[in-house]
Amino acid sequence: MTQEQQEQKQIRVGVLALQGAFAEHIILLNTLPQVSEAVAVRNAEEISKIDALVIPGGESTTMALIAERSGFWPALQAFVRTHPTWGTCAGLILLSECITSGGTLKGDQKLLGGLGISIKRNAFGTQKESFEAGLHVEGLEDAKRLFPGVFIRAPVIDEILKPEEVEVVAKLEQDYGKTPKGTIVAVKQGHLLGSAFHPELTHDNRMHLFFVKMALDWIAKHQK
Amino acid sequence: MTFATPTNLVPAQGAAALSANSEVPQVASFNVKAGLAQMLKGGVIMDVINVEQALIAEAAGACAVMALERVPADIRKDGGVARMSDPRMIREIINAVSIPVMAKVRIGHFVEAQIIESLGVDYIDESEVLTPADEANHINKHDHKVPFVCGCKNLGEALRRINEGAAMIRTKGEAGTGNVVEAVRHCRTVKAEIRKAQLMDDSELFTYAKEIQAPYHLLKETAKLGRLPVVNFAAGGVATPADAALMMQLGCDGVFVGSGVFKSGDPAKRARAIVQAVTHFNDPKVLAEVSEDLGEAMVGINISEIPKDQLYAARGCLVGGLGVMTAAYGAHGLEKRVNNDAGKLKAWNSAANIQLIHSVALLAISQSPALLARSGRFAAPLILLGTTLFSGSIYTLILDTDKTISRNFRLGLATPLGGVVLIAGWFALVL
Repeated sequence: MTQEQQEQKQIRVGVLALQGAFAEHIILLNTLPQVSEAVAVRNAEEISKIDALVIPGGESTTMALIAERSGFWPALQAFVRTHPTWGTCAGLILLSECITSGGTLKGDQKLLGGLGISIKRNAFGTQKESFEAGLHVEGLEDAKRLFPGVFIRAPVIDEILKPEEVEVVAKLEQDYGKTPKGTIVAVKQGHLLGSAFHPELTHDNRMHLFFVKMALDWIAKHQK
Repeated sequence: MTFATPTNLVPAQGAAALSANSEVPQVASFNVKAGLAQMLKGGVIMDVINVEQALIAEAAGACAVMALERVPADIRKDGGVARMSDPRMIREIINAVSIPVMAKVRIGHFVEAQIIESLGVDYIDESEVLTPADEANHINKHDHKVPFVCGCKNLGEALRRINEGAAMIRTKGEAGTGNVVEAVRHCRTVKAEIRKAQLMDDSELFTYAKEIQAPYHLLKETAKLGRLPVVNFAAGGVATPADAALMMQLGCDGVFVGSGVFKSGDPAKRARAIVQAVTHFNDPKVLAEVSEDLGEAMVGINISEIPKDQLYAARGCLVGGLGVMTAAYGAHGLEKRVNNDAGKLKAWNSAANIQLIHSVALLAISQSPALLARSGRFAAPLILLGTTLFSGSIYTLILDTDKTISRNFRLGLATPLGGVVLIAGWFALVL
């Protein structure tokens, strides 16, 4: 990190800690000088004290049900509508507008929405079809270097519903099983970022840096 | 495919582990296997025996389901050989839910593992709840693309399983009892052993590795991390939201609930409560709220039957101890009392022998869960009663020199009756 970056404004990033790999995100966020503190968020009180949110990998149905039953859902949805939020894997599903396939809680699965995309859950199949793949992520620091994409029972972005707003950030670079090369696996829309893979399962914090910078820019623009 | 510490499992890995040339590994590395376990953290994995229960579990917020034919409570009750479940049932559950599906195979039964893997199960549990297929060896889990979870009672056992390729560990409790005490014991044991290892220098660690029969490199990694080097869930005996939160506060990453949910009064409600408890394990207010009105915990479970092993073990020991005492008396003090009547001395000795033999029989039955669950249930009380009648009546008849007792009771009948009961007890074991 350069001196200039260290003098930048810092933000407090929360990681949704209802279920899943939240601790892993906190560890990587804490490696960034732009993050004053990364904390676990489980209720309305805790979410009121953060500037940006990461929704980790885990089970999207589980997270939605826990948030709903503990009365946290409205506060969570309100935050996601107005603050920088990044969803990885299960988080991407929760941020999407609709699920086209792979969801079994027929219509019962609640989504936070916001990203103008539709999602195919468990697109690659079961755990046997989980894999790791190198990705070129648009806008990443040291962009020539492949980012290690960890796909675990991963969803993919089936369709972009709002092409004028949604920006594609990463695509698959070869076929994986029945999922063809070119399938979209990361998108950006305004203050929202979504990725089908798990940057929290790598020792590479460039995606986290990407999100934190995006959040800082957005906050700077919208706080004026 | 060898062991690699799961990524970002502990904070110390963070900045220190950042690598500028992060390579993209091959397909289905250990990182991918252990990664799914990391996604399950903070969640509840529920035992289900059919699609209906799987849907209840998913709707309650389970992060995965364990498909099995009988929950541990019933396996304990029924006895016999417990095997992998019907593939058809597993496939139906996989098709019915969107969350990961796990299934159990017998210890060492790698063909069951191949079959389960081919069904597209997300995780395999090489489980001691089923009857072991190999008494010496576990499955070589590196050979499989699908990840494995294995049970442990102590650090050595956990690290041996990880060395064999397990990508997730569960600290075993006493499955099927609704009693959390064993889960707590083993969780505490593992924690204490890790703390001990953390204080050791390298030469001590070499010795400690030998002592607990753990691979040195994994022990060293564990000591460095200060925790098990893979995701660790609590399993067995978790029946209430408080139990689940207890295991979380003790440092487990999540919880398996077996018979605790679907053997309780209101499964859906209890399942939801346990899910909330695992998320809000540090918030007593939430725990109090979700613990309200849950109905009966673990109804109809043979909790009374399980202490039977201890019951009969204790009785066997008692019978044995008394047997030695009577035998000693027969050899030393009895001659005077019966005026060296050789017949009476001989009878006394055979009564003491029968008593001693059957103390061992009681102890043996008490140590076999399979026997206790089936024929032992009848055999143990029969043997106890038979010994008391047979040996007891002989002792009484011999000691009763002035015939006060035998005049009032027809004790002579008790001896052959006791003998018949003993014979019945032994034959009952064959059933």
